[in-house]
Amino acid sequence: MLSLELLLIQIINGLFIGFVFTLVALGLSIVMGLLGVVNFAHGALYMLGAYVGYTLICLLSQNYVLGFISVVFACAGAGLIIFLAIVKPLKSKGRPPLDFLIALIGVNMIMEESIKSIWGAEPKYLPIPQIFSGQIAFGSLLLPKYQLCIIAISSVVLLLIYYFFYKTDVGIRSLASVEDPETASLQGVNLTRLGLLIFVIGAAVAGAGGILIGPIFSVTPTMGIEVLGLIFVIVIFGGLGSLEGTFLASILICEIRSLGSIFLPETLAEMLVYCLLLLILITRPRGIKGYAGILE
Amino acid sequence: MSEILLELKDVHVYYGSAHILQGVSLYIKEGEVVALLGRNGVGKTTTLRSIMSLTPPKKGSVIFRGKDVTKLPPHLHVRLGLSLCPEGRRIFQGLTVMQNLKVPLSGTNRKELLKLVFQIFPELYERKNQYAGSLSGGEQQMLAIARAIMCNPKLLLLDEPMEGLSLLMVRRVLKCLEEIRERGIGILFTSCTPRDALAISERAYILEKGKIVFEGTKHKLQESSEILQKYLGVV
Repeated sequence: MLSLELLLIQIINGLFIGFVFTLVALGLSIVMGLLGVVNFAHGALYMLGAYVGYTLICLLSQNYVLGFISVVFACAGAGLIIFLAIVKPLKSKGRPPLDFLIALIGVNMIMEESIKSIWGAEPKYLPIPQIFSGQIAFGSLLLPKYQLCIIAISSVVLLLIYYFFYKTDVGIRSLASVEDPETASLQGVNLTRLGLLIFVIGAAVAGAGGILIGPIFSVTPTMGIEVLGLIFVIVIFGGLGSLEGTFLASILICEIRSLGSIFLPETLAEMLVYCLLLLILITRPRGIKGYAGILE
Repeated sequence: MSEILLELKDVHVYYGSAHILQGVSLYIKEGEVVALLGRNGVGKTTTLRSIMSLTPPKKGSVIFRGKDVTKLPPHLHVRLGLSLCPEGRRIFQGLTVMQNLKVPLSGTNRKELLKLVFQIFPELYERKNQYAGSLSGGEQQMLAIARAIMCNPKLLLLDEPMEGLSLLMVRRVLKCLEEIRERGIGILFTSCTPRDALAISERAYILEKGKIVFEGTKHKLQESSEILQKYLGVV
């Protein structure tokens, strides 16, 4: 029989994964909306975040705060290199979207193989910080501390992202550029420079997602590509370039997977998500909060 | 005598193999209001787009304030003082009125520009926190012009600013354009209807099949009933 405790734990599970996947999906969504580039290497940045975090925390410093900050900078740096070496040259030559896709799949493969040669192919385990291990009691209900901590940290990061996009001039220009890049360029917006900034922020936030999720799932060289399919579903479902849409889609999809796994075999719960994607592609290709014109 | 602000010299533009602009030459002096008239599909929008390098000319040049801007990317035109208000308004519907006005790179005098646009368009101040997508057609047109002013232009390019507006709103927009001209900003605008366009312009050009077929003062055009009838269908 379904207990309230199981239901609540699954809701918390869906929620924390939803928050982390929002972080990962946001960068992909904004970059796709702004530059029209499908960043297939985005999952690799998430994976890089987990590996850099593992190295710093398990092998070097044991300091989670320092590890988190270092991961953000390392992944921002990796994003900067990918943009300058791949995206910008292809963009300035006016190459078609397929060229970007192939080049970024290549980057993903290079990063995966490099990680295998440095850290090996076997899974690594990033421990939960001592302070957040165990459970917290709400009456008779015991909830995992670390998952709640992830929700809190992700919320802070998301609030910062929200502030950046809606309250700063650069953020407002980014949203305008996602909606109509040509008109934004007519307002003096340098789309390449803005694209670089968003690409780097997206990479940093994806890396942050990687280190946050590391202690829950094992850290493997394929964790990026494994999660990418679901991230694409979230991005399309939420609408390209929409912050609110990405957040809502991520929470909804992760809850469907989490709660669905109580009632259905795991593969069927997963299938349900893809059925939902199919439904939204047929009925509303722009996603729940996306702009018409990008996909319609 | 005022100096030439913008000059197009023998501009040719192609869409694929279609030769859209076939040697367009025109000029606008500082603070002048010039109308670019012609029926639909004769190349008016393409002329404005080619000035901003959105459809770069294959041949010919665009000179702005003495500088060749033919190959400059659009965002750099804005920094030199050229601003285009595109056809169909193309305001950012997902942003508020105020956020729309914050998109342009206004430089250091944003506060003064904001004050200016709210003086010209007080309706926008009342709706500054409203989403742009929820404004009426006329208000959206005002916002599009206001946003172009926020670029701090020396020359404002307006593509069909009166299109699809009620008579009342056309008068309102014309009044706003008068106010913009009084502040020394030059205006080049396109229109299919000469009556409204000639109400505020000093000179006019007529485009026909990608070529300039008339150039002169508005009085000269008003007196040329044959030209008005032949190229603009005015009886």
